[in-house]
Amino acid sequence: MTTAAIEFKSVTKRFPKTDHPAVDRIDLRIHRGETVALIGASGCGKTTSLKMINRLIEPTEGSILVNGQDIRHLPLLSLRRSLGYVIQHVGLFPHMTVAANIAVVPKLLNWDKARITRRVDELLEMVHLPPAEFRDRRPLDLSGGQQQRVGVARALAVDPPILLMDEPFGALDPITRTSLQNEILDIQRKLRKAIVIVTHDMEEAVRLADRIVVMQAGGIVMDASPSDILLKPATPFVASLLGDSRMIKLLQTLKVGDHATAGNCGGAPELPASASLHDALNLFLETGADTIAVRGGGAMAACLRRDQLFSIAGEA
Amino acid sequence: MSFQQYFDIFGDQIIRLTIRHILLFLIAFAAAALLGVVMGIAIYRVRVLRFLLPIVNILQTVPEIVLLALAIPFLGIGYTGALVPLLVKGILPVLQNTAGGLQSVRPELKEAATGIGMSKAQLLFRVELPSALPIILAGMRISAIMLVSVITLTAYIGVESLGTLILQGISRMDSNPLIVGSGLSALLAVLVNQIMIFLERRALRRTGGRP
Amino acid sequence: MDYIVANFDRILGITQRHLEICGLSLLFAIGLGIPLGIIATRIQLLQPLILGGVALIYTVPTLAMFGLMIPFFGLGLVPAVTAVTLYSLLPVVQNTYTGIINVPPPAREAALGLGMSSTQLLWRVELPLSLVVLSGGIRLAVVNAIGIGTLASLIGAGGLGDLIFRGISTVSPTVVLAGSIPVVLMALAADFGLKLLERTMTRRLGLTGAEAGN
Repeated sequence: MTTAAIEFKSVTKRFPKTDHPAVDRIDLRIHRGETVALIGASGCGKTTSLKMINRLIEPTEGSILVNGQDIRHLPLLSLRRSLGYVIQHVGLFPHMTVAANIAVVPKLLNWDKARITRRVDELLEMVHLPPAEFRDRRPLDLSGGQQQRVGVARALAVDPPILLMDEPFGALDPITRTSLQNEILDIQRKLRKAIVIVTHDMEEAVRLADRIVVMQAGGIVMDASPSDILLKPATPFVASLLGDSRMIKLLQTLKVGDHATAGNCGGAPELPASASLHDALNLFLETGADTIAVRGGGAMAACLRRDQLFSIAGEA
Repeated sequence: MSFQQYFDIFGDQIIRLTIRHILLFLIAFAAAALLGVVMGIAIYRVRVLRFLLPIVNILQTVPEIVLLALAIPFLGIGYTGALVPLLVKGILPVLQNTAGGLQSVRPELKEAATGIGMSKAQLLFRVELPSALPIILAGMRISAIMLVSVITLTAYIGVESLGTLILQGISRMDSNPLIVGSGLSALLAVLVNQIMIFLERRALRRTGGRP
Repeated sequence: MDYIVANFDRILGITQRHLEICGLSLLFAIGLGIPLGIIATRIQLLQPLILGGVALIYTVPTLAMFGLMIPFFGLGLVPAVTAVTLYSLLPVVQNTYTGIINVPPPAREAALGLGMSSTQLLWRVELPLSLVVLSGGIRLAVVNAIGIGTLASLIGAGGLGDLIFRGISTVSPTVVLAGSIPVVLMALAADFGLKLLERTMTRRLGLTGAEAGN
């Protein structure tokens, strides 16, 4: 078994003066190249779990390994400098220029000036902020979306193998959020990091993550791929996280016939072409099938595959 | 002279000066608080008077001893001479915080009050002043501490107070009156400060913590 | 007016003495006050002690404070500078504390999360971001010190109070004015100049961003 980028070993966190642990004996392995979303209602322990990785919060019991090493045995500051960190309120330093904000960690690591300048421009390009225009601007002169682009660039400054994101896009409007999510997908395709993203938004989790970890009352209630989360929610709570999402509403309005592809899939469970994609989702869920045969969509026989449905859901 | 002897001989004088100091303070504070609030309301309500605020700011940077000294040619020494620094240092913080406090009352609150048919006077007494109370009281606290200090200083132009003891001590290089005068006036200031802080906290609780 | 013209050099000398007293006191107050303010933000237990202590000192009547210096330090420069320093502590300590406490929590969290040490956080984030509030406190301290410095004369330390008190006791308004005018002018100039500095600083630090759209 390869070493996980991040590994939680029976980690518990109890805050003083509380009855229940915020995080209760969780085990979790996150690998390089993998994006894992921690999702759940507020107070479920997802942010606490994230902040225990860079030791902004210390676990009460259990241990966390980064690249196979117990983080308690690593020097605190170099651990944090090796973990990219993006937070919801961005936390740019208002008295520094955009370039200086991005250069914070390289400076802490004493990079030489030329290297820092080069790297800053490279990162600004990566997050689609033209360096010439943005380098010397101040955070307060930027829009929320631009600020978070800088926040992402700052987190990636020294190319850390691990990126921690705490509800990074929660404060943005839907259009800006979508474009930043695409940015992250793009970055992840190129850089293959281990990304942990905390979110309360199931659509965001489905869009970005390879694996979704659903947390409730400090424990993990489901740890599965987005399609399994959608198709086989392990508990009523997981189902309820899906319930009122825009994605489900969209699936309810789309017709199976419009998304099926020509082909023969005899023997598969059947649905009429006029049924909704949500019906299809339920059928996948009930039967566990990979394909559905679509009836009455014209002369040709047609099929809908599970991954097709899933990619539509992901784009919602 | 030992402290005990000093106290035996001058005990009556100490008590008399302490009572005088407190009385002077109470009168000056009552006048300053009243005038400060009235003038603050006037500046808030009558927009033309706003030009006075920068002048208030400048006056506040003038040290009390300078105010005291400058008033003498016009008002002589004694109580009348003490009037100018007492009023300036007493009124200005109250005035400033009253005008500022009224200005910071949330507009929705005023709109709602006007909406349910309050007259301008009702708006002032039932909504604006109660909401601004914590800020006004903070101004009164600054004023009160200032006044205790200024009253001590007016001993220099013959107004009897605990300051008289301090000046006696300085001119005779006698630490007995020095320590008694300084100690008691400092104690008085601290006491006044604590009372005002208590009142401020109570007012803050009543307005739910925000003006 | 004749008095002022005739004694211009002397007044200048006395003014210089006044500035020495205030300058020294402010140096001590800033040198002592900023660390105290920082300690109050770092050590929870000491916070009420430090903030309450300097506030308590500030309520002591000025004359009483100068009087209380004599039994301990006698007459002259040392007790005068000590008294003015004690008064100047409150605005410096209070504003250092307020400035640091009001640093936006996300900036602090990001700084720590990115791997700044407590010292780096202080120098690179907290102090730069509290500079404007801090210099507001220093402005108050300077204006106060220039005024309170006049009482230094009462305990034999000289300064412009010499002229003011002599003017009062000899009932000569010109002498009073000769002492008062420089005091008021210096206080106003300090107030104005430091306010200007604060404004420039706010701009230079980029703390006045216009709300931009997406």
